[in-house]
Amino acid sequence: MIELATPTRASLESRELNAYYGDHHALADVTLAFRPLAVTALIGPSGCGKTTFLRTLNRIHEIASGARVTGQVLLDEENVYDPSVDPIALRRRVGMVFQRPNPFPTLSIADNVSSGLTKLRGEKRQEAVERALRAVGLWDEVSDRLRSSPLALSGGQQQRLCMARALAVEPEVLLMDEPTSALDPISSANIEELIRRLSDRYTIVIVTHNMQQAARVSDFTAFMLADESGSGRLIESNETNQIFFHPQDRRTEDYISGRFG
Amino acid sequence: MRRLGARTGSKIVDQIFVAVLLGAAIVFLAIILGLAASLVKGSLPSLRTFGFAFLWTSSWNPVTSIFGALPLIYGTVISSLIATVLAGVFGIFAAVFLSDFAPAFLARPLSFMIELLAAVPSVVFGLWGLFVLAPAMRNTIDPALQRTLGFLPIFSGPSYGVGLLTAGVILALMIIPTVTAISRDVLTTIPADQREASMSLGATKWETMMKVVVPAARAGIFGAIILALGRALGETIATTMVIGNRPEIAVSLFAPSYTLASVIANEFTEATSDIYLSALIELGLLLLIVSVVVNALARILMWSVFRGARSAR
Amino acid sequence: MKSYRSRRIADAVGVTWSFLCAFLAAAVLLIILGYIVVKGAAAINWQFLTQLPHPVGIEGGGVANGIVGSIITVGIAVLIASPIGIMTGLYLALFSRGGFASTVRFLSDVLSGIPSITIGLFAYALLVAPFKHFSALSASFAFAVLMLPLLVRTSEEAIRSVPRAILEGALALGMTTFRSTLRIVLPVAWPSIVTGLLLAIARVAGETAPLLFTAFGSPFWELNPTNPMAVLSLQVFTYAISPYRSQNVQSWGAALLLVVAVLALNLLARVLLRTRIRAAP
Repeated sequence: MIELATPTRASLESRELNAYYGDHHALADVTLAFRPLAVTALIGPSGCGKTTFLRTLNRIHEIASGARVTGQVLLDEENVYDPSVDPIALRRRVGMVFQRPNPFPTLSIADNVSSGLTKLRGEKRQEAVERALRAVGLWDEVSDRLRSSPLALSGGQQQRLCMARALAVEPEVLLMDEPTSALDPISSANIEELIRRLSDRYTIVIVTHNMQQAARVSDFTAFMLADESGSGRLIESNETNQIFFHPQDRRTEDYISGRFG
Repeated sequence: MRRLGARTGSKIVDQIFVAVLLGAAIVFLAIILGLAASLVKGSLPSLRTFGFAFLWTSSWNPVTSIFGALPLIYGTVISSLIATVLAGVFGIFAAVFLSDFAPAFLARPLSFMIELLAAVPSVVFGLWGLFVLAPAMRNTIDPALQRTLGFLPIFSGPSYGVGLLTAGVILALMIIPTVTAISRDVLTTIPADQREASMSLGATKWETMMKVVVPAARAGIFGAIILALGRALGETIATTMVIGNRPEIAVSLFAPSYTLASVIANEFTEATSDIYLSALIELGLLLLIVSVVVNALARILMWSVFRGARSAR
Repeated sequence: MKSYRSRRIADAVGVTWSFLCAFLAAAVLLIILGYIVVKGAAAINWQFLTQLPHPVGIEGGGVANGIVGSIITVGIAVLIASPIGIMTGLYLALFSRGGFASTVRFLSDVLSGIPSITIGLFAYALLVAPFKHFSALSASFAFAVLMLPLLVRTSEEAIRSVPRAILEGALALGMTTFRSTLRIVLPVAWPSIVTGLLLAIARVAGETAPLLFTAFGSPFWELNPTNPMAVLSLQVFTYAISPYRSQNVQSWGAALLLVVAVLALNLLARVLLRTRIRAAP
């Protein structure tokens, strides 16, 4: 792990954040600060806006047609929704891993990892690929077939490849949208262990529908729930232990204890 | 502010990218609108001279510079209707066979061949029609029709081989793939449970198709037929080669005739006066309007079926 | 209720009849191809493929200038149509918001149903009338307009069929939309786009009607696209309606060449599509 860039304590928080898909008000008034160099889990039932919230943090939400956002997301005190901000610069600092592994099918394994690297060339580029693949524990498995297609890898390997791809850009924040939901239990355990290991280098936000997973990997947990009109709201956030053992809100307790609708 | 705003170069790259793509779309749009505008502009002298009488006067006479399109409209409509009826009858049943009755080892090669038929250039149909079909019509088929159905005025009179009926048959062969392929696709969108419900009530396969599946798909099949009609109306080269090219309205289907498209094909490069040229362009405009209306109708019909199938899923 | 027996008979008759319809429709292809191959092969020899047409009434000669002319006119059409068509398709697939995109899509569908002869009239008005002479370039333009709706549609569908997660994955790495599209999305969609392009080429390669007053035809070796040019499909037409038997025979030969080219393009497109489907995860 030492080879990776020295951790920078990026602070990330949302203020009065609202998101819309066309007429649908998907996310309402979410204000939440993420602890740097820690794992925060976003939990809640389907349709509670947790994925939407995650996608507003790197402005990938806005590429869907009819999508818009009001309020603020602050990265190191800088509002990422300020008109002067280039979303591309933002996304290089805030990486993302998706629900299903999405390796680029026409690129080789090595090219997948280096696909976000615009400046590095030659040996430096190869080193960056190796570093990222080692960071996700994939190097030993794929070092002999870096030039072959990623589609031959297993689902778990593909997901780790996608993580390596995100890490190669050297982001400060890593967003993960249910990264293990498409994987078998063993691959999932690998990914969870990886998340734990990465948490001393990166500020990680993970969306999960799996409460045990949230309890295992996260330091902090935020519980979200949709209101009557279907808008996702933040109900409660705290240290993971507190959320699971001493929830303050009745609705959190109902959800945690499985007494939910 | 500095760090996130720094890479504005990439923003400009994307703005240029979107602008270039938008530019291509605008060029595309301009071509379509330009096509319509140029035909309207070219038709103006003829529109001014003949007005709407162009549509229902029946003298097409370059020598006197009097142009009425009625015989051409008649030839276009009748040859296309013959084609549509023939292609409809054969094409729909062919589609029924391919969608429901055919075992896979037959459905695939037959579909494949019918789709390839659609790829055969129209000039090749015309060539075959002129040298194979037309003599066969003159020597065998037309006399047989005359012997059996000769009491009908449409099957009376001498046969030259080339004429309305021959053109209709050639057009039918050309549009059968359209009818068959689209009808087959429409039929396969009808959910299996409708077939199963009918079969479970004791209906035979044939009864199920005719009483349940085909009626459920009728809007889409109708759309396929209208689309095929549109193709037939605008088809040029094959028709030109087998219709006889005579601007007259005759009752007999054996008689030579002319179509809007064929007149343009035959006479455009020979048109000597401006008004002649303009009259020919007005035929093109007429063809354009008819094909737009017919295609829009067909698409609305098919769209209703495919959308219905999607929402049912 | 009719008797069970008569219903069974009706069932058998109906199924048989529909089989006959499908069989006959497919048989038409074989019959026409049969004639083209038999009659065309008789006309084809080395001279036919390599020589210029002889003056009317003189035996022999070939369609070499038409073969070359077809390649030139279609080639220029591809150069005109593919950038506009593919970029329009990209625009519709990636940025299709609001009325403009649906207008483009609707008009594209409309254009695909317009008879080729009217497109020929447009090409004439735009590129022949102002210059007072026929040209291969005007034919290429007409071909390009004919290809465009097909290219726009297949490109849009090809891009749309690339999973959105792939584009999002690229954007999330901080790639520009430009780079994400060119380097990540387009390579995935490419086989489908090429398939569409091949089908569009096959469609225009056999097209004849718009050539009558654009390329016009030529008895010479003509390589300059601003001049009238011989095109294979046009030669099929003019030789077919010619009163000379020797030219009629050559028409079959030219038709065979045309059919082989068009069907080969169609088969190639199918093979390409099938390998793509098999390669998909």
